[in-house]
Amino acid sequence: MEHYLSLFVRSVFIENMALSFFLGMCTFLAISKKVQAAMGLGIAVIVVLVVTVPANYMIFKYLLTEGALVWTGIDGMEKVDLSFLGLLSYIGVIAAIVQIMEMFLDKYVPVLYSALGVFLPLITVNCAILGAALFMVERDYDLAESTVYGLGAGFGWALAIVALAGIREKLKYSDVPDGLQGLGITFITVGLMSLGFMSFGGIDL
Amino acid sequence: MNLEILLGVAMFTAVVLALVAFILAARAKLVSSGLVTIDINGEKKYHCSSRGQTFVDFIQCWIVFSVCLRGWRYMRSM
Repeated sequence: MEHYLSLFVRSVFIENMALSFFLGMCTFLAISKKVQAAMGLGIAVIVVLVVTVPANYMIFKYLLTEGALVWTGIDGMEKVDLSFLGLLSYIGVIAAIVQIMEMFLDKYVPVLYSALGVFLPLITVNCAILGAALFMVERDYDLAESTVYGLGAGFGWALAIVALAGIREKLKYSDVPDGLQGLGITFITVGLMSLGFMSFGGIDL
Repeated sequence: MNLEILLGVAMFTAVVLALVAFILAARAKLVSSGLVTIDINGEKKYHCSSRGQTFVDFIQCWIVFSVCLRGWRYMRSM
């Protein structure tokens, strides 16, 4: 249990997808103007990550990795290595889950569906989602670990975007120099937040 | 080597088909479709084809008909 808690805390704070690896920057900067929309997108990313990382783990473990097809019982399967299909399969799974999420939001939360606009289908190509799947493979997580990692990575990304949206909402009332208005000050804010999150780097869990 | 290529093609096709089946199953549950009939006090019935997939399309369809209805009432009052 302690191991999973440590993995969760590490993926939220120390290895934050947005502020440590700078993944998913497009939506991170575009949907961080209002806290409400940022929160909605954050929850959508958490749900997509929690579903896709374990789903990709199952595909990698039981279909693609070397010797994964041994369960079929056919001779010669222990040498078959289909891991070159990894990227295609992960993106396919992510695209399918995002499609379903889009239909779900359109039916049950149309306000959020309209607020997220084009950025909802763009979750499919959000680097944070694919990055989590690739980290899961690289670090050799098991099913439970990949679920916890998906939850932690999503929560960390959501935390970062909501924090940035909060700061940007307050920044509306400040006197920003002409050259830095808009994205300029946002980049500086993200850089400072990233420096702040680097302080968690020394924590040894 | 040949086996690996054949298996790769087969596996990719299988994964994509499984995902498509998954999406179609979800779509059958989550997306409303069919003919929408708007019955106005039993006086008039409007049929609206919900060709669009989404709830938003349905609402747009409803707004169009409510505008028509307003015009129709206006014409009747003249």
